[in-house]
Amino acid sequence: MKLIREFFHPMTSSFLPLKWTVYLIGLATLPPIQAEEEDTGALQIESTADELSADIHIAREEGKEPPRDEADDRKRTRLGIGESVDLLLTGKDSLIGNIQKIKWTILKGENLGELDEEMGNPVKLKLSPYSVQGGKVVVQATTEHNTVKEKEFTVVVPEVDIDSHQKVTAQHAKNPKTGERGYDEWNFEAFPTETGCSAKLEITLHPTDVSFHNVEMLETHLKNIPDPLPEMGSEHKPLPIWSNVNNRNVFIDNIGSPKPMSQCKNLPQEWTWVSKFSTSRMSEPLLDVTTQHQRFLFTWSAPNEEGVTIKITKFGRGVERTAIKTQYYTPKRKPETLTKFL
Amino acid sequence: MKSLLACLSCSLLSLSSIQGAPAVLNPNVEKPPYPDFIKHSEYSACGLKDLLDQGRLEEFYKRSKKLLKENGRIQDKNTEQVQNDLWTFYYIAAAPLFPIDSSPEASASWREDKTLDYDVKTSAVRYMATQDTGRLAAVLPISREKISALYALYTARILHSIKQSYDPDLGEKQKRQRQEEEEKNRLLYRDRKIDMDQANVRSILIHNRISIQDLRNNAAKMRTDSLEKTFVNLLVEYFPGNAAQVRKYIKLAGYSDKEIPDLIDRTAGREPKTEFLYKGAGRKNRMRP
Repeated sequence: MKLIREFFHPMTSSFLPLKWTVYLIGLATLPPIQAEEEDTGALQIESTADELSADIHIAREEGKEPPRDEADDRKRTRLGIGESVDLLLTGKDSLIGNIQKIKWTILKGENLGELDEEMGNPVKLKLSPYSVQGGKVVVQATTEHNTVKEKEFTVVVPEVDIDSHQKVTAQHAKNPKTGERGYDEWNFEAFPTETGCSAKLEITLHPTDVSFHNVEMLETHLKNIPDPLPEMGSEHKPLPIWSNVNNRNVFIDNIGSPKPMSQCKNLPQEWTWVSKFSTSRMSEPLLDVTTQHQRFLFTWSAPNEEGVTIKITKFGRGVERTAIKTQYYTPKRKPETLTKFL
Repeated sequence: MKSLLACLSCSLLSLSSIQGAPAVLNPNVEKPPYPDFIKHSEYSACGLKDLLDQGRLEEFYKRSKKLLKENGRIQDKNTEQVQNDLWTFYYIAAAPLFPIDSSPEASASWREDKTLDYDVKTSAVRYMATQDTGRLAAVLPISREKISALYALYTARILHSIKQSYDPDLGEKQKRQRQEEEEKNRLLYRDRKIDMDQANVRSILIHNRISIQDLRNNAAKMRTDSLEKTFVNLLVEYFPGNAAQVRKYIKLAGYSDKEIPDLIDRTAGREPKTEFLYKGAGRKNRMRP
C-alpha cells in the first residue's frame, strides 16, 4: 500500500513517466473515428444524375408543378436500373489533394454497375439496365492522403405484378391533333362499314421517382385461351423488337384488330392472348414485370346482325368500336361507328 | 442551319456505316507527328484504325473503352507506349459519333450502350487531363509545347463534337417529326402497302428512335457540362499565363468570343492561377469579376 502511494504521489519523479504512459495509453484507446471525422467532415461526394426522374417529365407533360425542383432531383440517391450518375468529391483543396490521384471503388453492389474510371474527379457510375434485382451500391473515394469518403445509392428495378395485380399503370396516348387521350392511330373511324379498331397505350413503369429511360421492354406470348383458338381467332405474333422506355418511364403497346366484315360469322366469338412483358437485353427477356390478358370480343351490335362490335381490353384499358354493314349504314349512324376508349 | 447540315451528313453517314464503309474522320483533328508508328500492327492504336477503316464504329468505341483503361494503368511509359497513347487519343477525337437513324426501318446497331461514343470521348479528355506533358516530352523527341498543343486540340475537338450534337429544341422537333412519321405510317397501312403487324412494328420503331434520340441529347448536354470544367482547367495548366492560347483552344471547342467570359466564370472561376485570363479582356468582352 505504502509503495503504491509513493509510486503514485504526484511529487515523486517516477510519477512523471507513469503520467505520460497513462496519457499515451489513454490517447491510443480513443476511438480512431474521432480523428477521421475531423479529416473527412469537410469532404463530400456530390452526385448528379444524368437523367431527371420520370416525375419531372410527367409533370411537364401534364403542365403541372413537378414534385421537386430539377437541381434536387439530380441529387437523388434513389436510381433506376440503367441510370448514370456523376460522382464528384468536394471539399477543401488541402483535404482533396491531387485530384488525379483520387481513387474510386465500388464497395458494395458491384454487380449493379460499374465506374467508367478508377481515378480522377469526377467519375461516372453507370448502372446496368440488365439487373433483375435492385439493391444498395456504395462507392468510395480515396484521396492521395488516404482519407476516404463513401456514398450510398439505392438502385431499384421496375415494380412487378403482385398476386396478379399489375403495378404498371396504363393510359391512352394523346391524339396529336386534339390533345385528348384516346388515339385511333389507324383511323378505322374513317371507314364506318369496315370492322376494326385500334388504340395506342402508354404503359408506365413504376416507381416514377427514378428514371428507367435506358431500359428496354419485350413482350413474349405465353398461351391462348381457349386453345386452340376459335374460328375467327388469330395467332399472337408479338413484335420481334423490344420497346424503348421514354423519359416518363413509358413504353408503348398498340392494341387493335383489323378483321374484315366478311370474316365476321357465328358471333359472338372471343379469345384471349396471355403474354408477359419483361425488361430485356435485346431479344432476351430478363425481369418479368407484368402478365397481361389481351381479350378480344366480337359481337353482333343488334339482333338482326346489322353490325359488328369489337372490344379489346388489356392493362385494364380498352377500345371498342361498332361497324355497320353497308346495306344498313346511313350517314346519320356515324356516331355509332366512332371509337370508344375505355 | 449548322445542325441541319450536321443532321444531313449524319444520315448519310448512317447508311455508309451500317454497310461497312470506312468511318469518316474529322479532318480538323491533326494527326500525331509519327506517321510510321501506325504502320506497325503490334500496337493497339492500329487495331483502332482498322475498325474505323471497316466502319465498325460500335466495336471501335468498345475497344477504345478497354484500351483507355489498360493504357491508363501503365506507369512510366516508354517512347512507343506514349506514341500509342497519342494515336489512341487521335482516333477517339477524330472518330464520328454514332449516326442518327434517319428512317424507322434501320434498327439501331448500338443498343448495348446507347451513349458509349459520348462516354469514351469524355473519358479520353479526362485521361489527357491527367497526363504530365513535361514527362511525355522527356520521352518523345518533340517539345512539351507540341504535345500540349496536340492534347489541347484533341480535347477541344471532342468537346466541340459533343457540344454541337446537343439540340435544346429537340423536344419540339420530335413532336412534329413523330406526327409526320405516324401520318406516313397510317397512309401506308390505309393504302394496304403494309399490314397491321408491319404497321405496329413501324409504330414502335418510331417511338424507340425518338426515345433514344432524347436519351442521347440529354447525355450530350450532361457530358458537355461536365467536360467544360476539365477542359478549361487543362488549358490553364498547359498554357499558364498565356491567355491567347487558352482562348484559341476554347474557340476551337466551339465557343464564341461572347461565351468565353461566362465559360471561365463557371468553370475555373477567378483565382490566382486564372487571374491572367481576366486581364485585358478588351473593350467588348470585359470579364465579370
